[in-house]
Amino acid sequence: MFVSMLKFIFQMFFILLISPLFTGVIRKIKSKIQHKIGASVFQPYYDLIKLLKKDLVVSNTSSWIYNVAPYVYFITSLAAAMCLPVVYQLRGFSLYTDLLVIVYFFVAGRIFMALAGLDTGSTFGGMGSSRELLISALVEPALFLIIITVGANPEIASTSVFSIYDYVVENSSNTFSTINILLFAAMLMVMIAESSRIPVDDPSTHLELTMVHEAMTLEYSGRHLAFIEMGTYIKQLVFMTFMANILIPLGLNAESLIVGLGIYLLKIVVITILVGVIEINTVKFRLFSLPNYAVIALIIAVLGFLTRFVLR
Amino acid sequence: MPLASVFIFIGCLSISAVPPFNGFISEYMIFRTIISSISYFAPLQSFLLVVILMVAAAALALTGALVAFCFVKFFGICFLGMTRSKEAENAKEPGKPMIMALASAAVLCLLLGIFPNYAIKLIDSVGSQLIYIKLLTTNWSLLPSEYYPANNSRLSIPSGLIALLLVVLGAIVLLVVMALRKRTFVQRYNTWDCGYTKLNSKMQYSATGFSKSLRIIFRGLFKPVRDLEITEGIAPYHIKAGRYTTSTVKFFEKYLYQPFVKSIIYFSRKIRFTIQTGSIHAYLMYFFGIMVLMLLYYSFTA
Repeated sequence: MFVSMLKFIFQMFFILLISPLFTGVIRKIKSKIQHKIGASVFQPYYDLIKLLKKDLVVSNTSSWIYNVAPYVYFITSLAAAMCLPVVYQLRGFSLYTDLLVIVYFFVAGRIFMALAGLDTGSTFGGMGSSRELLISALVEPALFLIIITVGANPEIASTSVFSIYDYVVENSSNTFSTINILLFAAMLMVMIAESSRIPVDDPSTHLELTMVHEAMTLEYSGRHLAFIEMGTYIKQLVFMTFMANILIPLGLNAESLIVGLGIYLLKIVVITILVGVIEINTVKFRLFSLPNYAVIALIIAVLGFLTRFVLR
Repeated sequence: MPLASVFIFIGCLSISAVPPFNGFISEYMIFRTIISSISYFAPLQSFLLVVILMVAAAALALTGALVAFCFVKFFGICFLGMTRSKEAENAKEPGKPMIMALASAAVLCLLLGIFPNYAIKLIDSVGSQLIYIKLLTTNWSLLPSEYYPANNSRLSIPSGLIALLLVVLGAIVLLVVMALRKRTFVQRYNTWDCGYTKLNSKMQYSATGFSKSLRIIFRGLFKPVRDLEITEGIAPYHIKAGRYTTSTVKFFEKYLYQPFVKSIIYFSRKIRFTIQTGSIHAYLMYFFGIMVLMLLYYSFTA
């Protein structure tokens, strides 16, 4: 009990400490490719600290949902992160956690954020929440198929993170199987859509009309915004952890905790480089070409599914 | 309607499958069933079934997300933002019996979400008679009944732990916010309006606008029709009045239910004109015929 509590606390602080870093890394990689110096990789931390110190402006028309939404978004993202241990040794506290539960935590956070977008009575907020829900609805089938392909493996037959990690560690020798590569590609597309990155959403434009996630959170300031940003960083890290630990399980069976964490960070950095390179080489899609994007992700996931269960 | 809206909000959350409410448990169980079935049937090489299950899972995932979309629209348009009509502005809390009804449903949503095993056991007694497998081994508990399902038939729902996790993290965040609160100042101000200064309720997203993107994406299904009538004033672009109408085809009603209903009505009309003519002689004749048939039946069976 005491050990699993320690593991819980370690996982929580590790996730909180590390998740803003990778957004900084992605920005740095993009700058490097464009031959810019770019902001420090620790810039997201500075932003968060600044935001936490700032005063807040709250819209007149907003209700309690507006005030609660940032914290709910943060809590559900963190709860989802707690379901996915970063290294194999930490899996003790996640005895009963479940891959499906992670998705539903994200659903909860998204619903609150979308309602908060409508709550201020701003046009941009409504537009943002409508589009955010649309995008998530489009990629949801692919996400569930990925989880089902992982969980419905006859040797696992469960979505319990515990048994999936056990299976994955036993079979870490065939990391680069066709199934894993297909699922990884599908998950990468889902991750890009869910964490509002470039081909789907552009969080850094100067025009509210081209944003999706940022349009929804337009009215927020101060610590509210800090919690939302943090929630988004954590959410992104959860998807990356899923990819790193379950879809590329290479090195998950490391003996010591330190080596395990090192391998984990290395894998996440590789994924961030991938994301950065994709961002720099694509432009934001039109909103109505996003169904094509979602269908491509779905088809890749279906191919992964068929490879595992039908074409054996 | 602050109190009523809270209970309706809980209802919206649970139908959108948000943990720890009851809708989440239901969707979770369906997905777990799909996963168990796939892992059971795939080694038996029944591939058609596996593919059907895959399509069902993808469809359910899309439906689940669209349900969330629908209920965000419902709650957001009805209760949030600036009031959209005079009636909404003067809305009052409904009477106590109505509040009680909403409250009891909301409390049940939460209770069944945290302690689902009690309800599952009731349903289980029906299912186990059909398939001779019991889903649950224990009566009801906060913790799932088993470590993790060793065989396909056992179900363990981490509902209690989810609630516990949310409460613990919520408490931590609450402490942090309490600490931060002392040092910062909250100002209430108008919603940002691009410097226009006259933001009104008609500039908000409407219910129709909210789901516009869905209508466009699924236009093959809904066949939306849009009609814009503009009355121009003294000069072109000087618009005096405008009228915007939009409508969609109700796909399943039009192509599934209505043909069915129509054919039933068609046949009953036919029958009416051949059998039910309205002549009392014919009806007496039917009575007589039925009497004879019944007597014959009785004499043969007895």
